Amino acid sequence: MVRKPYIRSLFPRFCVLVMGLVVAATPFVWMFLCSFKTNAEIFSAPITFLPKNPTLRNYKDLLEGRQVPFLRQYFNSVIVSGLFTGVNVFVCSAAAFAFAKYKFPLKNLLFTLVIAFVMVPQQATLVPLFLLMHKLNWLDTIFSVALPGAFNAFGVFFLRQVMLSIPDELIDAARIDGAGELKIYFRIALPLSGAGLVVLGVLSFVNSWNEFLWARIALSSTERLTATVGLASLVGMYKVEYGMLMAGASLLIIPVIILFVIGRDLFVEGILRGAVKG
Amino acid sequence: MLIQMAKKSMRRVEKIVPYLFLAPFFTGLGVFWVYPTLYSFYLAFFKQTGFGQGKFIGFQNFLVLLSDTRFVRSIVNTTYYAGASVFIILPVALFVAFLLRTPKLPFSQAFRIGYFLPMVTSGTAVAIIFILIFDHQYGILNYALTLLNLPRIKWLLDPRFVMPSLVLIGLWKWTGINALYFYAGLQGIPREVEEAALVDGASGWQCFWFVTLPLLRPILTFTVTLAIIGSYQLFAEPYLLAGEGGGPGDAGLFATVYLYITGFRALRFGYASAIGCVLFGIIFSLSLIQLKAMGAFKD
Repeated sequence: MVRKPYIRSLFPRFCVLVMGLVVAATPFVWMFLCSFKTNAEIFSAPITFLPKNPTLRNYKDLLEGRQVPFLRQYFNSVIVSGLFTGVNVFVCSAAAFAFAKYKFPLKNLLFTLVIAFVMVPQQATLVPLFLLMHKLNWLDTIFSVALPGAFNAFGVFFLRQVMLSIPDELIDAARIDGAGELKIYFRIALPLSGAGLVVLGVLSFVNSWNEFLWARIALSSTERLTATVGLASLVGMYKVEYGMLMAGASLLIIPVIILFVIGRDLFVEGILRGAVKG
Repeated sequence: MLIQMAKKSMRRVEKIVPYLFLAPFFTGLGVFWVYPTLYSFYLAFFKQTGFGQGKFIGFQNFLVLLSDTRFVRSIVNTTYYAGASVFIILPVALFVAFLLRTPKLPFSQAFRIGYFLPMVTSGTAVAIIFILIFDHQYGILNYALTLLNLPRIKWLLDPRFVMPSLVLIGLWKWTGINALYFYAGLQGIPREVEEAALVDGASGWQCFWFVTLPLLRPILTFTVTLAIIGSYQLFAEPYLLAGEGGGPGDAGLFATVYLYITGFRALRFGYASAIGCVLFGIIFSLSLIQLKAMGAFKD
């Protein structure tokens, strides 16, 4: 009889995993609960778990812009992330298509450059990028926040791997049928890498949505901040409205959770495949 | 004849086509990445404060860095966090991965989602949530401690506990994704290999240490380097939890936070570029190891 490795009994393992899940979920649950409490209730002893008198005031105050124009900032985040994602998926898929399906001089050199810039950290570019944006007069605009990150090399690297699996015969057949190169890209390469595009799109959107450091540097006026930066500016205030901060954090997290739950398989598989595939 | 001509012109078109597809991306890469990276290395040799003209000072910025106690402190803190990530977060994640590998595990889908969510949560939201959780008087963490008859801890106010607080957040945020990486790695190991070792009389622990772990090496390299890189890039959480000043006694000052304050608070652009170059060196070499482990250079 083979002693099976690591399998003893299901139940204790299941319990440990459930405990882990509880730990993972508690901060989220706490955030949602506190977002319906008044500030006085949050800062009262003994601690209450469920809100005594659930109130929507935090959300109302936040969205009415009592301290920061949060609705406006939220909208900015949607625009910035949308622009970021659109540009990112478009330019990266085009470049990835060239790397995956054409032979041309300097190909290896250019691809090495792409890989090199997968490894360059954002911090190394912050100061010059700020000076550049200053010169271009782009500081405090959505372009300054959305564009630099949209040209990240990871997208090319990732989509090239996806597009390598498109059969060359299909492309040659289309060419013989008289399809132009642009048509091949739009009608064959893009549809056949649909799942990869969605994964990159979702990842880009979430990354841009959560971006804090560069957005904090590039944006300055209150009405132009993205939601992450706008909400963070409330943290250091003299009188911190915690209920309101919790409402804001909830609103920040909700779109990501929705995206994630809808595309969960794609998302998890995509990240694991993109990262692990040898 | 006609076909040959068509083929010829096609070939000519084909010669420029790939470059046209590459053009938009490489234009952006050049403007927003290549130029800033190169300029950063140039600027690191200048003394420049504000937008004015800088003054060439050779390696002086780098020499000053070595004796800058706040910089050294930030590197020590960041390295402490990286160490904790590797020796605390990753082992916990590996343990969770083994649990997830249980065959016929009910609700495995729910675990995957639940463990994954903290990772995609914005640093701002994480910081806001945990400031309240760590609150000395009204936080649930201290509430839990009092239930266990333990003394309350001044998590974010006591210099000794600032880093452990940040590590706890890291544990919450990064265990899940690392567990999924390990889980994917474990899927690639055939059960028969481990079973053979056990049949040959290896104990469960020996099997883990001498069979499973070596087979996980590519994934281990990947997760270890990712954890260290992540530490050197961490910004939102230490910035918001410890504050711009770095917390009590700079206890929560991270490398990227220090770069931010020098560059964009004090506007010492030359000096901040030098910090950026140091971080570049650290992260770039770690990424090189990581991509090698992933086999990026194979095909």
